[in-house]
Amino acid sequence: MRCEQIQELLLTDHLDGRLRRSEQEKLAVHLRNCTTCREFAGIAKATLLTPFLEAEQLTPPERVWQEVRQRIVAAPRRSCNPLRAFLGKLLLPLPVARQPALVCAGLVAVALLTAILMRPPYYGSGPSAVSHAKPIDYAAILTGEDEVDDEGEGLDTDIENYFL
Amino acid sequence: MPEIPHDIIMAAAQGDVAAFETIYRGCAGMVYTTALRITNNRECAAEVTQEVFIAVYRKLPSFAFRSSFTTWLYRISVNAAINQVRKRAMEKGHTVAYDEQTMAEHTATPATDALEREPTRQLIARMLAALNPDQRACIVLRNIDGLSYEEIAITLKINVNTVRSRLKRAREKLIAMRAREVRHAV
Ligand SMILES: [Zn+2]
Repeated sequence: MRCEQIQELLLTDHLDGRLRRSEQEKLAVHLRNCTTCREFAGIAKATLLTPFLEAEQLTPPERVWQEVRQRIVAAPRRSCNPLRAFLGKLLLPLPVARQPALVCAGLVAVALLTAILMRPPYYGSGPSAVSHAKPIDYAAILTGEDEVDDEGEGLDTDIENYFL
Repeated sequence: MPEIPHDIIMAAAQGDVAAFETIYRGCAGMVYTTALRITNNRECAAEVTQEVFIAVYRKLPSFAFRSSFTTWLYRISVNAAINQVRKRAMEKGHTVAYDEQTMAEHTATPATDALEREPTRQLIARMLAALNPDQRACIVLRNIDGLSYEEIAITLKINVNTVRSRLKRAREKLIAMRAREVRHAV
């Protein structure tokens, strides 16, 4: 193996303990005979492994829990509907959006307006002219009740649903 | 990674806020630290931590224990942090410089110990700052959180070869950076 290939292994599979035994032996032979790669191996270990061994776990400020607690106590459980998340994202910069009751009222108003605007025209030929197709359940959409709740196993939180 | 008892998760899934607080107390450090290392910024890390736990609370009723709870939580956290970095980069139109004080200020370590550890903490901060977000995520997941290439691939939704090449490029950068620093010091 050339020095370049050896150094690639030193930076990846060797450093991360992924080399097969046969590769490990070839590498050892090369290192015995090559000062440059031997030095490189030492630098790689000291630079790329050692500092991280002392990495510590940090603690978030207490206000994070206070905020989480407030939000989960205040908000209904099933609210990870993408439409709602999208609307929430649109509304969030507005100060008014920080009042849950106002947001709800706003959402209901939007839903009603949408329902009214999307209603088929009524030409006055009796009740039978009104569409009998299954009505869209706007309330369900807004509360997330229409959601086909998929498996919680995957990365399907609302954060990911609308960011990914 | 912290382990959370099954019955605590079940209780939290049924809306028990005290049980959910137990989960938060057990896992917030992991979520916040990972978010902080990936985002570079205390405010962003706090925001990610908050959003992750709120999302998790809402999703708990559909969590089916096919993977461990903390693995699930960890994956959500990593991706939320990466999304936060991307969002912030788009908003500001550039990558924000690494907040080196970040690591020093929000630590659970007692003060006396903190002083001795200072150089390492700053070194880690400086190293992570030298990387782009994708490389940084790979280094954090591999070197700090100890994930295998395969686990990183699943978490970041990339293939194993990409994990390897990102680690390689990140480490080349880090070695070059350290070499420059050593030359300057001499
Ligand atoms: Zn060589």
